Amino acid sequence: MARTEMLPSFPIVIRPSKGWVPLQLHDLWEYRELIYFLAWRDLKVRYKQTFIGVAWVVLQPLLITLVFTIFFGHLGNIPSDSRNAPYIVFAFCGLLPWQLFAYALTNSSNSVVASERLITKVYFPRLVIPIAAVLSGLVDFALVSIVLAGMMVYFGIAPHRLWAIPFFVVMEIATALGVGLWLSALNVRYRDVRHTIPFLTQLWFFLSPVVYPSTFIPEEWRYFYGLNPMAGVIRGFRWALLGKSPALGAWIGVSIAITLVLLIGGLFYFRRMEKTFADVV
Amino acid sequence: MSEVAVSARGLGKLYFICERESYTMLRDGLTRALTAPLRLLKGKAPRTVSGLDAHTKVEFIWAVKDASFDLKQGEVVGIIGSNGSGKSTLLKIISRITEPTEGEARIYGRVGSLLEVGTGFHPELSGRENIYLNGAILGMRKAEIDRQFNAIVEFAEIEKFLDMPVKHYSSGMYTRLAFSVAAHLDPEILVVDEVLAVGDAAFQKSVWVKWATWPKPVARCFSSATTWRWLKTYVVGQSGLIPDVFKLTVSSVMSWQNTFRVSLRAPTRTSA
Repeated sequence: MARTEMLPSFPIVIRPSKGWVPLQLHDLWEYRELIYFLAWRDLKVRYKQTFIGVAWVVLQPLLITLVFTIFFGHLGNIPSDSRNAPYIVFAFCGLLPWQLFAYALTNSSNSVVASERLITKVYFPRLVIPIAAVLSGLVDFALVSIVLAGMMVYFGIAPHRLWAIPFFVVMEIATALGVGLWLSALNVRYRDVRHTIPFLTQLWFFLSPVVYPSTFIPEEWRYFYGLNPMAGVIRGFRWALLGKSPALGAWIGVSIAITLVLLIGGLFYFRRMEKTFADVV
Repeated sequence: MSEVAVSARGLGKLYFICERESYTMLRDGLTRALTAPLRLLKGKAPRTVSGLDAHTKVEFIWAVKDASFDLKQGEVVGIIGSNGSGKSTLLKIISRITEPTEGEARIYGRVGSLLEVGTGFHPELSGRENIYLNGAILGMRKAEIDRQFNAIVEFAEIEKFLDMPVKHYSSGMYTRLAFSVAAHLDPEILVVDEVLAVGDAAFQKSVWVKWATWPKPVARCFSSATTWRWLKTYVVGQSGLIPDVFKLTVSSVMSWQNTFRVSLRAPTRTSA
């Protein structure tokens, strides 16, 4: 009985809603434990019945980086944008945030449709679903970060601005969630979305400076380039970790602005559409 | 005891029969989105449900119409009606899974809805893990699940298989575990749809006793004829155990049926 005080004020009024509805973040806060449990389930299920289990998390980016180093670094002669980091570290440092983003984006975009059973049988704030989907990628990210740290120790690179990393992590989570909110809500009605996601992430990968430095983009195009928030995030990661690389351009501001627009727009769009989920999904 | 738990006024839910097909076309959606500002400019666009133009011809069906009732604290109500008469839809509206098309309901208290047994159970996870997952999905807090954990396991009689993935459970074990989590829910208003119709009789009985002997007044709302039949026979057979349930059940169902005569009829089909 003691927990009655923590509940939203009564009565709960049920009536048809029209148009844009408030976000009701306090309701979401009430369900924070469910966010945790859903993210935890995602994580558990992903590596059940695998032989090398969690090692996949680390092995995958390592092998991809190796391929990048051979093809882009050596054969393609793409330089690292930091004077003290070899291409392999440079590429890994870009792949680390990229993989978190790609996973969070794909997982959250499919999350609502994948949770059909829950949506049609139980009430909870629907925002819980894409948020949990995005957050479950953070554990993989933490593990791969350790590998990057090891790599940096091996090559003797000291992180210059480690304090800035949380900011860029939050920024990319916000971007992935923003896009994920739009796509997951659209996915309920138009299953076309599911087929476009692999294509979208692949295209986005090449539009982001993962295998090449952002300095490849001509100066006058940088602000335009910044329209892709992931360009800002990856640039930020390298700026914070690798050091001896060019200063962070003001175009990062464009990336931050776009992130905010995507996230806030996504939240409201999702809330607007969620009332139809149970009937349409 | 006479405090209202759920009060509904003129609830209605409209479903479009061809909705799936007509809505999945991206082109239509885009056109509608693009012309929305135009329609706004024109002002008095004929307002229809969910923004459809008046000239769009769709078949629709009122799954629930004009449902008005008051459910008091501590009252037990069974909703009965034929297939497709809107029992489940009504419960879905009350448990906030879907929005009503018209009308209003006020809910005074925490709603625990059980429209299906084992919602959110994951076959790959162990019994222990699923207790936590399912409990959280049904609206329990972790501290609450921790507190009830042993009781849940004991009630389900699955101690030995607790750390085994539930995909290897027999269907009886699976159902018992799912029921058990639900039986330890602690809501002020409990909404149950059909679920009591499955599982073996002895176990069903113990779930019912658990719900019926709650220390605090809980409004209970059951649907489906099977549930009702079972409930009645059980309650009649053991009325000494839970006499108030018997009394309340019968009177509520009677009044409920009277209020609902209109909506529980087979719904009428119309086209606009």
